[in-house]
Amino acid sequence: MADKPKDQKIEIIFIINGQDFSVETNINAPLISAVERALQESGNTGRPASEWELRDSNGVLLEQHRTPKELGLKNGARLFLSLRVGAGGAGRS
Amino acid sequence: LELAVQADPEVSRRKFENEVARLLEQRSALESRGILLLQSTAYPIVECLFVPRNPLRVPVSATQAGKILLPPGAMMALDVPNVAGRAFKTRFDLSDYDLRAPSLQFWDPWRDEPLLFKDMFRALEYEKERKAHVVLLDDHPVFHRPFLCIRGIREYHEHPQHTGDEWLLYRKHMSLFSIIMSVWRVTVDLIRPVLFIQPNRLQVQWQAEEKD
Repeated sequence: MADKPKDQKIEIIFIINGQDFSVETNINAPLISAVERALQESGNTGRPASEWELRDSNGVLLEQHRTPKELGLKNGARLFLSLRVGAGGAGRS
Repeated sequence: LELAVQADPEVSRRKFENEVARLLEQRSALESRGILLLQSTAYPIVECLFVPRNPLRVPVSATQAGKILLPPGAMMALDVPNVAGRAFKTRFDLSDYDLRAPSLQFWDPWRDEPLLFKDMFRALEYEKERKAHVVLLDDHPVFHRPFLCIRGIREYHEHPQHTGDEWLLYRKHMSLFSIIMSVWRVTVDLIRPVLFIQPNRLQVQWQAEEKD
């Protein structure tokens, strides 16, 4: 049986630069829409969403085109949103 | 390094306090990664202890895998679950923050002095296109000490090869918390020490896990 509409909404907490930003989203909507809202709310406009990466509490990279349902995210999930590491350095020695 | 422009010390101190407050708010996220904010933190220095967790791996000769007999010279890798890299201290200097990025040095937590490159772990970043690449380098051309070559670190942005990638382009979108998480990724999360036993010597290689 399909979820009732109210059951399809969850709250995701994005941690951006050490601050929590809570965004309500549909479990069947790609995460990218919630990511864009979180970036906007936190004032992080001006850099494309593709430069940001999303990780769960274990540090696992999450694909932003996937949905919370596909990723098994529950209400109140805490995700870390940050700019990609961006490294100089040298080839593997 | 002498700069003509310096941040107002009062502004810098206020921003330092904000950054430390955010670290305290996210203390559980940091501690779950083995990052401990130390009480020695005082303007303009933030000190954290990083505790590596990936176990030592040792390649050994193997004669059998399950029921299959292996040819002579075959090797297998064994993890030693109760041995990992040594803990180290990260010492962030937020002088002139956030006009300049935080400076980072790695210190020995027991002797409370900078680690020498020869005694240090190694740090690597992994990207699909570039694969694993070394981001801990032995001698900065300006600061003349080992440095971590990643965005958000003063030694990266003030390196002569990165003059086009200014800190001021990123400071609005980065914080000490996010920088610490990046440091953790390239020094702890991705890194695994591998011990090679050779005649009359031991060699440790620091390898990066191939994960985004």
